Amino acid sequence: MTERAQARFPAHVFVMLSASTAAYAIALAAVAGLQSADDAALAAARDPVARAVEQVSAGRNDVLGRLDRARAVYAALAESYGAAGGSLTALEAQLAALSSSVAAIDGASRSLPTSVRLPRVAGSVSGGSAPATHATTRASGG
Amino acid sequence: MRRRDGRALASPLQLTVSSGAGEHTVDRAWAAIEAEFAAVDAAMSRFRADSEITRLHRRGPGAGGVVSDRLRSALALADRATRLTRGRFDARILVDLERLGSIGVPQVWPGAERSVDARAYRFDRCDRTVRLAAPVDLGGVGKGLALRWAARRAAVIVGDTGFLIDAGGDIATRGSADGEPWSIAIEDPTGAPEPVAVCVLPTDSAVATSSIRRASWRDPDGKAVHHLIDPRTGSPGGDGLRAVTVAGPDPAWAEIWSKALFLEGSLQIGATARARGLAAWWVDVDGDLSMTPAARERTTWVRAEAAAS
Repeated sequence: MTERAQARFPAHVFVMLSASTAAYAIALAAVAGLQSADDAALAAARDPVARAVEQVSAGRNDVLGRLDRARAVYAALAESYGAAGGSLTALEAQLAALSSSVAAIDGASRSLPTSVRLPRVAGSVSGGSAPATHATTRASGG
Repeated sequence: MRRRDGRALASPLQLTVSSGAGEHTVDRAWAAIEAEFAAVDAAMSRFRADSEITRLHRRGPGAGGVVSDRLRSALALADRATRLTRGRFDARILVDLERLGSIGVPQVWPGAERSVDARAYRFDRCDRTVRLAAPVDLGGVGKGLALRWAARRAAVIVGDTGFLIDAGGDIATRGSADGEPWSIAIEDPTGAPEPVAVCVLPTDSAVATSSIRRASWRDPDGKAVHHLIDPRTGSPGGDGLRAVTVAGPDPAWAEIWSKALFLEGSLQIGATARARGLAAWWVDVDGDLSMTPAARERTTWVRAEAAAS
């Protein structure tokens, strides 16, 4: 059978095939080498952009973190403001009550007469002429 | 009862002692009282060229001087009275008194103002000197303090025996009048002989009256003025009032409050006296007598009521 195959495909065909294959392999290797070099150059060219993207990403994460903290502070402030607002409301109510009390006292004090005619005290105030006294209080001029 | 009479601080001075004290004891008490009044006169009189206050005034503003304990006590009391009466009483009205022509040894230095400092005086504890912020009139306070100190000295001498000291109408008492309360007439400021009311004083009391019946004159412009100067205006005050009498435990404070209440005027005196719980009587320009509830408790006779009954 070998003899028949050898008879059907001469040796130079095998040599040509081998040579072609070798040439193809070499060309392939060369192409692969060129591609590898191009990839490396491309990667090197893209490296600053990648770093910039990483920095932007890191910055975004930082901004997000700050926003979270600011949101928490805002929430705390809003809570404190709500509590203070409640206290202020209570204080305003107390001031209003105090104001009405002061107004009532002021009105009552203004309604008092300047002088009051008090009723006589039975048993202590005597009629007739002035009783005997030990001294007289008077203008001293001092 | 035993009596002694004399004069002090330009007013009559009288001591009345209940029965039980011997003549010698009364003489010793009287001598102590006269000595106390003489000491106060020497310290505080603006009618004497050689008094301590006159010498202090002549040093001028800010010039300090070492003064007696009596004068310093009077200055401290006047300062405290200004604060407690919210400025109604103010010894610094001397500038206005002299401007209006009040007699006495000139005290006010050139350019002096009535209120140049929050306090009437400064006391330096290091060299014990007093510096006046403005000229001061210690007449009323001085008489009240003289009564306070004289009563204290007399009480030591006469012991439990009651007595009454009358310094020209300002009165201090100790104990009782032979077992009865001391009975005091309140003068009619119009000059009528009968008092407007009679009151009794509890043990260890005082009573003082501020009135325009005396110490009234005409200013350089011919306008009628009196000695009760309102510190707020620098002019005679007490609109609508003729006289105010105050009773209390201390003669100096009775004097201060009678003056401060007078300067409230007829519209405010009732409210202020009641708010302070003072026993006060006042006569307005119409001659009507009013009083506080505390005064009513001590009143035993009222002329208007006696006439109506």
